[in-house]
Amino acid sequence: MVEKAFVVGLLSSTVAAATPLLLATLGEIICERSGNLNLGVEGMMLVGALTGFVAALWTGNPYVGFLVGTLSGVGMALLHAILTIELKANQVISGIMITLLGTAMTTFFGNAIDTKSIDGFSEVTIPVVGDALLQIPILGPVFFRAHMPDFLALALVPAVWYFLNRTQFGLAVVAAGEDPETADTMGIPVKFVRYAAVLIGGGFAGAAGADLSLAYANIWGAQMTDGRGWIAVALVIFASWQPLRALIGAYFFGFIDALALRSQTLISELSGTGLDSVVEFALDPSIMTMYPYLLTIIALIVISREASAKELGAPSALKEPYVREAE
Amino acid sequence: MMLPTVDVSHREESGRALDLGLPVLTVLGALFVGAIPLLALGTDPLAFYWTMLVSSPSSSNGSLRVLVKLVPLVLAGLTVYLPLKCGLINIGAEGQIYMGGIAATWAAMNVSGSSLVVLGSMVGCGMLAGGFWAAIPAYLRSKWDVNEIIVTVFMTFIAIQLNEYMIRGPLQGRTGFPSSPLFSEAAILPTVMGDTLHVGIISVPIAVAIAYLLLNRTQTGYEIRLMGSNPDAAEQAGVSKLRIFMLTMILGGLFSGLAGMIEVSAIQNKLISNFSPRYGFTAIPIALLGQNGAVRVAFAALFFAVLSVGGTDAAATYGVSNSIIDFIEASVILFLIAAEFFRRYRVDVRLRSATATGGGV
Repeated sequence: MVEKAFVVGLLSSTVAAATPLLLATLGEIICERSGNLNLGVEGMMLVGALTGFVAALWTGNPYVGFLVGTLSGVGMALLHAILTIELKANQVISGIMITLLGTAMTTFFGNAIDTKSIDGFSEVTIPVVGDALLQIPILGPVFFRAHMPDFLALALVPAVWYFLNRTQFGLAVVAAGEDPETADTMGIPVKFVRYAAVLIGGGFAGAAGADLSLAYANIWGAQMTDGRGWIAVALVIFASWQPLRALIGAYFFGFIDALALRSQTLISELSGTGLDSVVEFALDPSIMTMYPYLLTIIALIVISREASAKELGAPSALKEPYVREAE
Repeated sequence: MMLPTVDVSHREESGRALDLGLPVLTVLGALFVGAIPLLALGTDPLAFYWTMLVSSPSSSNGSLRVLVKLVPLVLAGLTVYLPLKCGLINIGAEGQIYMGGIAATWAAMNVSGSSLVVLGSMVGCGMLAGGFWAAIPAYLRSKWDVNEIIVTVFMTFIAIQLNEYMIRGPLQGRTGFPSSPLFSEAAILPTVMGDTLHVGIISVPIAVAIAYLLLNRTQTGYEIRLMGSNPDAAEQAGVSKLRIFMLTMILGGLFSGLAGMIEVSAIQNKLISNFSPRYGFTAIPIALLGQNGAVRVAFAALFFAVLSVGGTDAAATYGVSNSIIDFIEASVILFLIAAEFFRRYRVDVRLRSATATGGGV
């Protein structure tokens, strides 16, 4: 029988695995809502992971590392913003190149600290009511004793929703992504708004990377993001550009990630049912790692067949550089 | 008062000088930036670059190693280049390489007979697997408009995991070792001119010729280019999206499948984890650098092959980390993005009277 400690461990690592996905997805939602597709998330995450790790290594403070990682994500995003908004470069090519650039740069500069490890974020509880919350069976230790970025990511879900739906600036972001011409005539500075959205998205991606090296793994490793940036790009479509659905998607993929880490235990738990070879195949760690990718491809097919991208909630002007007529 | 003004306007067509000059400037810019970490490490960049670009690749052993590296880079470069011509972005060459390697290993372990039979079936299986892996995103894109970028990226990750599974499962050799058994003599591509260069090199001129002839000498090639430059006009002219997308993607997949077969057969002599050092991703800047012709893709691949072989030698000579190569590659990429702007826009800097423009601020 599966033990309670196993369930708590499984769910705790679901939270830990979901956090970087959630942060990156929320950032990409803001970015895409403004009409800019950023495929550089993976590269921005890697840069955030490395710079955050180095800063934490030097200062001994993971919070400083997290901040530095976030800011370097903004820096990478500035490059993407200049290229796509200012120089009107193809968003797809710019994004892919930024991912390749981030991978190559971090491999080069990260080489020196490949073997170092840090303490990273320690687990914290919510002040005052924390101890009481921990008493809740299973869910208490899962959700109320976690790393700072885990709480931050969860808090950002309603915050991003509120930003996009209730604040003036958020509505300007959405307007710039839906109909830049009209937004412009209404006096919204489209270019500025898009710059801001791309930079915010980059900051989220950098934070997601810093979470990986400072809370999830506590080490730096070349290409440690392992495709998570791409999963975030896919999760945006999965979530129909809605922050609340991003939460569900990120936690679902985080759960698969947590299961894959425990495949040996699961295989032995489920042995002797007469389906051993099927179970062993389906729960093989390599096969399990494929599931998010397979599911995303299937979801994309279903979505694309059933509805046009518009009905899905894609910003109408996504991928379109905005050129003002007759300045 | 005279003030310089900058005018940015859209280019109708890029001139020939720019066309040839931009890739060269891109490379020079990248080498310039690459000098910064070298200087920081106290290494003379000129001496380093001399070893990297001239003395190592021109040595008899170095030149053969460059040719060996050229094979997967040209094949993968064309895999990205061909779909790019009809407006598709295939970043799945890496996955197609892995599928080729896996299928070729399966053939090596299950086909017996003369060397010709074994190698022939390895080539056939490897190419088919690569082509199949490329056909899926092509079909999904042309039928239901499923984004090919995300599908090709994810199919690459799936292929890499499948490789991990295979070397610990169905294709595993000795228990406890995550790799296939060592191939028999019959499953290893023979070498020519010594024991560095293998016969896989003949695939380079053949693949470049196929891509060149297809694009420049056939009606289909015209349709591919039309689809890339003006999809609406192409559809009005009755060009089949399905046919064009499938053709360019599958042909590219066949090339990368072959690259995977060559890599496991000639280089590794078995299937191992991460047998491709990201050839399929390096293929993207190669295809962008050579986007105006198949022969240029080959030259771009040659540059990256020299960078890899010469860079490794220079790094060893001067005691610098090997990842300086990654850094220079990244700089090439950075300059590539910037070059895109100059390819599409014309920037005029003129001296003009400030009053004529309505007064400067």
